[in-house]
Amino acid sequence: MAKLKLISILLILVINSVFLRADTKTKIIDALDHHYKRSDITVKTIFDGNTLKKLLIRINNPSIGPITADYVTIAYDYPKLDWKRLLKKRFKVKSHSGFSVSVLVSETGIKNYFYSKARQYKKKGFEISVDFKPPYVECKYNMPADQLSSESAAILSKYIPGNSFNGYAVFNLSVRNNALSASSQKVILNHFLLPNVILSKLQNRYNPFDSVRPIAPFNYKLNKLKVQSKYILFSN
Amino acid sequence: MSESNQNNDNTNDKKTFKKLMKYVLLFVALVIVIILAIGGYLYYKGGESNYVPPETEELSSNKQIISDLETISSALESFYTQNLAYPASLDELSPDFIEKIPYADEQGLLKYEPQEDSYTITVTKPEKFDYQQIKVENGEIKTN
Repeated sequence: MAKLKLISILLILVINSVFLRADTKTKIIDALDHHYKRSDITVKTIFDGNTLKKLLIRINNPSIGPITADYVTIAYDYPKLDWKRLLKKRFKVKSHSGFSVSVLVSETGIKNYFYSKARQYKKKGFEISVDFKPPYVECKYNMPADQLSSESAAILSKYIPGNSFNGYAVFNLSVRNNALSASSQKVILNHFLLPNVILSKLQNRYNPFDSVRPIAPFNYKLNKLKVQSKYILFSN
Repeated sequence: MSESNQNNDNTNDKKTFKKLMKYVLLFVALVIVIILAIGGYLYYKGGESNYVPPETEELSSNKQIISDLETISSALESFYTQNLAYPASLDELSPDFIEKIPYADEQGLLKYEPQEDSYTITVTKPEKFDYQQIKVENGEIKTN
């Protein structure tokens, strides 16, 4: 009889634990599904006994401001979830012992960013190809001269005449407090290698050139960036 | 007498002017040559054969290993971002996150041990790089 009691208590504990674990994932997905499609949310939990040791939330293809990322993964160490809010489909972590965020953006993501910027500024006939060559980002571009902003055209037309601007550019990207900056290492424009004087003029004028946005409902600052063979990895 | 002096002065002035003009022309020619040389150099460097990234600085072997471990760590972080788990072996990082795994041809030099939510990489022959120990624990490189 005592054995049966013990087995049933253990069984209840195991079932409870399994349900708690499954429930945590479901509740988090429920809380995030008004921000993202359910199919784009993946939640992984790692338990240490009954304590939640690690919570990983991956969102596929979220918009991080002007860029569409391939993946954003949020990781909490020993998070204490706010269950009251979670039951009301609001995600909140009351406390944790570690937080990290990492964002992957592919070459296509960067290329689409350039095209969306061109559309935003109503630039026509703009063509670009992007390749990641760690630690650089490499671009080949072509753009009608009359589609360039008057400021840039004023700087460039002094040195390079022509009806179109085409060539090659290699730059380093960096991120600080979510603000994106680029430093050109080599720019070839209409068959001319641009001297560093012009490059530093353009860099000083346009940096930081854009900023990324934290994905809802999280709040973080991206401060590290690494160019890899097929992705750019941003992290906090 | 004074007329001949004036003629002499005029001749001297003309000579000086001619000399000056010669220098000015030489200077202008030099400037044009320099501009053309710089323009020619920039034009030569702007050909499609130069559509290549600048060469990165060559590092000494003890700096290179640290740089390579940083590259591997960030590739592991990217893999984790995508898969929510670390790869079973470093080979899985290629080609998406790293083009070629450093030291892949030196079998056993990097000992990679993944766990569920952490990893370690140990350099098995640290003395080769003038270190006593080189280890990476979840992205943190430890040397002594």
